Amino acid sequence: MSSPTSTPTLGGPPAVGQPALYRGAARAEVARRLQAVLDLSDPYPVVNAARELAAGALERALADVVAGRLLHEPTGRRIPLQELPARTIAALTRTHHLDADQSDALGFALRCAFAWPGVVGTPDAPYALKSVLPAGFAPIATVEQIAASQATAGPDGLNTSYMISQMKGGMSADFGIGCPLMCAYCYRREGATVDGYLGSWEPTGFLEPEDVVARLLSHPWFTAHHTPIGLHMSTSEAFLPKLWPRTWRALKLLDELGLTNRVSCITKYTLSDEQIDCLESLVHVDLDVNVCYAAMPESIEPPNRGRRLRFLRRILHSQKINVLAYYRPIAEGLNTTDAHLRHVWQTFRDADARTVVLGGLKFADDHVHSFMSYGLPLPAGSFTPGKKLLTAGTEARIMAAFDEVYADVAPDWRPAVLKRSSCGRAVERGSHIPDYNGHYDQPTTNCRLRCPAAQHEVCASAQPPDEETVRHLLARIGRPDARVDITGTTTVVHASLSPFERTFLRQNLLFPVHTARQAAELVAGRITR
Amino acid sequence: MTTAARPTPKRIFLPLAESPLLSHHGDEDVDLAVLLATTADPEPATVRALLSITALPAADRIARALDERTDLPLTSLALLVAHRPDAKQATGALRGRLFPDSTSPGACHRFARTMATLVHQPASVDDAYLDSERFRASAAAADPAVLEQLLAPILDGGTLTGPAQTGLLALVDARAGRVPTAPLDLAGATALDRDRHKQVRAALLARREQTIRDLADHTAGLTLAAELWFDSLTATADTPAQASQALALAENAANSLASAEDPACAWPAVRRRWQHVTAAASAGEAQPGGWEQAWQAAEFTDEGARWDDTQRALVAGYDLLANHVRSTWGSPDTPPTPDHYWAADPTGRALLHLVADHLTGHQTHSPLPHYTDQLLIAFARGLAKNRHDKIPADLHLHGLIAAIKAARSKAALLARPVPADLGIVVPMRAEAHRLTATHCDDALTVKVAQLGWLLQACPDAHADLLLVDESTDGASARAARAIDVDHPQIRVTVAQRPDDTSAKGGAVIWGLTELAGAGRTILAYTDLDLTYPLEQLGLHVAALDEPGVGAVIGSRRRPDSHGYYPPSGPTPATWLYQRAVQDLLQLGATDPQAGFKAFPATALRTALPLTADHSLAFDSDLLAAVARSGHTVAEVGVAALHQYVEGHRSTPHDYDTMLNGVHRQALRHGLDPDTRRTPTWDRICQAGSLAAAAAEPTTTTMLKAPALR
Repeated sequence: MSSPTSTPTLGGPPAVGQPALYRGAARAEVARRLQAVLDLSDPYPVVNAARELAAGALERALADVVAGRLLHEPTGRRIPLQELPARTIAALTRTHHLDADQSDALGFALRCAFAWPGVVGTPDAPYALKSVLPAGFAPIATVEQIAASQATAGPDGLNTSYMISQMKGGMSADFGIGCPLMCAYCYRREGATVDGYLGSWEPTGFLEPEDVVARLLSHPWFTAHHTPIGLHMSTSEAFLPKLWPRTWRALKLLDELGLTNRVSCITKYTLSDEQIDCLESLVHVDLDVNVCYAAMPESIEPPNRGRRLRFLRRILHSQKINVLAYYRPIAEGLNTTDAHLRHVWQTFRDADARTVVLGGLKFADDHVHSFMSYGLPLPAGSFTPGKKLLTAGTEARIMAAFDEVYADVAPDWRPAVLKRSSCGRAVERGSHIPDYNGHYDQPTTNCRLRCPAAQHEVCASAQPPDEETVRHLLARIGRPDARVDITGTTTVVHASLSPFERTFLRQNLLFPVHTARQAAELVAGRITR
Repeated sequence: MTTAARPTPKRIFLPLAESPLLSHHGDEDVDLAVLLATTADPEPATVRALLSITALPAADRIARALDERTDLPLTSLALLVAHRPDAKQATGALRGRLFPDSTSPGACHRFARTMATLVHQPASVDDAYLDSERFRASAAAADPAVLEQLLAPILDGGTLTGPAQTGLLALVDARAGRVPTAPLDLAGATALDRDRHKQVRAALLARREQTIRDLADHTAGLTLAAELWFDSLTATADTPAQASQALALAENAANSLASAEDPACAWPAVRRRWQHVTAAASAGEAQPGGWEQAWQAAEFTDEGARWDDTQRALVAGYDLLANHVRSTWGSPDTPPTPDHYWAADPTGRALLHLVADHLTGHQTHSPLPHYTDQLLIAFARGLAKNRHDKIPADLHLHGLIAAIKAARSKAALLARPVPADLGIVVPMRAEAHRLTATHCDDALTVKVAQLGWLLQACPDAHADLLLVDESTDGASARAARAIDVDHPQIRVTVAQRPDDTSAKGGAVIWGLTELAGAGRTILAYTDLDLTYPLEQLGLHVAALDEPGVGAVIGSRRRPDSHGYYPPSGPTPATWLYQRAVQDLLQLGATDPQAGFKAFPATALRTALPLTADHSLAFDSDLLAAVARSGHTVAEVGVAALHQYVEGHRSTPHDYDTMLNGVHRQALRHGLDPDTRRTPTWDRICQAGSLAAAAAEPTTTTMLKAPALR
């Protein structure tokens, strides 16, 4: 990838000086021709080729990209496409005094330096279903078949037939169902026939990584470089020895495809130094590892604590991997004594945690049945209607314990503490994009713990989407004609969106999306605040 | 990998109040609200949210936008009119809905505004208008169906505030006598009545928790009787005067209990419940020690998690029983048995009763309303597994599960609106050895103690215990008569009725007939051994209280049963026998031969004349007779105090002989082999015996799929 950058010949018109990079009908053809010379190991020849189609300040900006290798981080990793506007384009726009059209043309040219596999997205229309599929790519099912399968997802969003599911954490790519860790609170259980807590829920019959990646690329809800991906996020544990080869192979495949999507692995397990080295070798994929620890009693959460915490300490020292300390699940009565709270913060402090996400236990009514069956203590409030297993009072005690444990650390050097995983992932990566779930629409609820000022700025500066993008996305969820109001507050879709459709739209737009009723409640809350 | 520490980056953190997220979007939010008011689907939730914005000028702009719409549904119209009485177009539209005939006398905007206000802003209703003839005329003229739809939020169970109650009352009164009664009027009257009760009882209900806590100080923490007493007090208070009287009783209840004074209450149902409270106080005084210490110790797990209040009594009970076994079990050469530990031994029995009492309600906490017995049994087993306790023969589990069953039994008996009047037959044949006390209590003493504990909570309940010795030597009867048992609520009678032709059935049938004749309303029978604890008879009684039930079997084979069978369950021959009984007599019971059953006297009076079998198979004959006389046969799971020993059969039954008896019963009860198939019975006959049929490999007949064309 560090080989000398050369300039391929595009051949034929459009000629220099023509507005080929600017918004217009010619873009599709320009994109096709620039993409034809793309080498994932060295994207700069594409930028040089684009320079041939530019002039003046735009050409000089593209030249800076090549000279400064501005598509890469100093570590050699690719800068994710989603972060380019903040990390590269904005600075070049300022430096070269680009106007809006020029800045947009610069963005288009740089998008051509990224791969666009799958059924969605081209540099000129990143959110639209492709009209022509990439050569050699055959989706494993039609868009209609996959959409029909998506409609069968359960109330929790899990699509057990296609195994790619839209979740709040992202598109969950699940290879199969099964986990032997025996956490009593696991919300992914198999009814009366198999019982995860009793250790009989071994992961078996899992899909091959090639199949999973093919399913992802064929899915009309998956957007290259934009959709956050969760590996084994809903049905198993990515780093189990039995699953690690599949996890690693899938990451390699995504990386080899040149995808810069965010990928999350949530774990209560551990990896060896060699396995961490593997993760550090990824160039394109934007990985985060989320290590759960909340001092939950081992009778409820059996995975070995000591081993997990040693892993957390080791991986937090990695220069390349984004790591979140997941302080969850927190459940009133189970792990909320003052001693529990102090212990967890001290543990995170000892491990040098940078970004911490708090989370309450998801506790459904059927969990009462399973906890009782296992002879385990129930969280306080299990029988309270509308139960909340992480109350405001406990949250305040958690933050008081934080202040106590970090008392001798200057405030600016203490970890960030977020309420939402998506916020934590944005903060850990340096606050370059707004929260991808748009939680900043209710800041008094979601942004009140310890979110850095830089992230507040980024979220406050989030721009409403253009109508064309929204239309492309609505077409992908089968609602091409839904009425839409794009405002500075939110994107209102006048349709009965499912929570998963809404999540899909938000994660692509990086902007709030609401139905009319939700929007009314939102503004009522904000205006009367 | 790199091992050097990656430092926490410096980040600036500001107070939320300084966040740009809070400082922008103000005008955009208002514009969006107005846009939604203009164009969004005007469903009530959206309109309600928009109208909750009161800041000006946003609120005015929103109201104007909504008022200009012509597509608001009734509820949204009412919301708008209630919040913005100046919304002229909406008020006119609401008037139009209420008075389809606009020329009708009484059709007016003010009535429309008042009805909308009554539902959504009741404090703003004008009382003077409600009292006017104009209002009454409008109330009579308005479309009652539209009014009912409009007022649904206050008619359908919502709490009426004072002004809403006044308005609704005015509306109902205005319509009464002027127009035919409509569903609106009935719903209005119901809502007003419901609200009146709520108001009358509000002060009393506010005193509930304190009163029960005060009473618990005198009942060793037991609270079920106090809760039931308080509920009866609340139900009785129907007028303000009665409520005041009830409140005075509640405030003085703890003093009355402490000083053993009669609280001078005129209401019989409440007086009866007070007796139960005093009984709980007596029971609390007589309890062995240890509960409070166990309760305190059961607050947290070893890992610092707090037990939920619904679980804590189970954990305390588990610890008490486990510690008892640990401290008393002597030699591994003398295998302990659950019946010895938790029935015959007075100390163990008292401990089981202590645990069961507190499971019914300790400081208002009880697991019983929250969990089924099947789940409670699973919890006990799970707890034992997590604790890694090595207790001989899982004795503590047998005890705890028996205590759970006993607790539910006692709670059910206590909750009945009328006292139980029980008659229990215990057949005997050559069982004098069970009636001899050696190291522990004899079987009769145990049964009286078990029954006494159950009835103790209800001093107005009584039981006749009739022991029937059918052996010719009369040894069992003599042994029973030699035992001195005395209980104020239990009368023990020993009868000698030699009968060589009977095998249990004759004694039971005769005993049931005698007790029914003596006027007992609930009849039961059980064996003299200690397998079936009489503490659990309340489970049967509760099941009998269900409409149409003519017999209740204390089953050993339901998912919520425990103790009789090994973990693998009954043998194949046992299940085959049960299926044959089902075939022949069409009885769906899992355990027709269980020796613990109960019946209402009314059902027995018609069923007993239909029975003829006095053999060991008499149970199914009696059950079939009950079913034949039009009653349902129900089952409850019991916890047997029985020590299963591999390969050991407690009674040498001849199941083939019994099954032949069942076949004869079936023919007598109307089985026609030509019209009803009995495949299990046929299979046993073909195999030659029950044992041979059970030993046959089972086969599955596969239906052939139709050939493809």
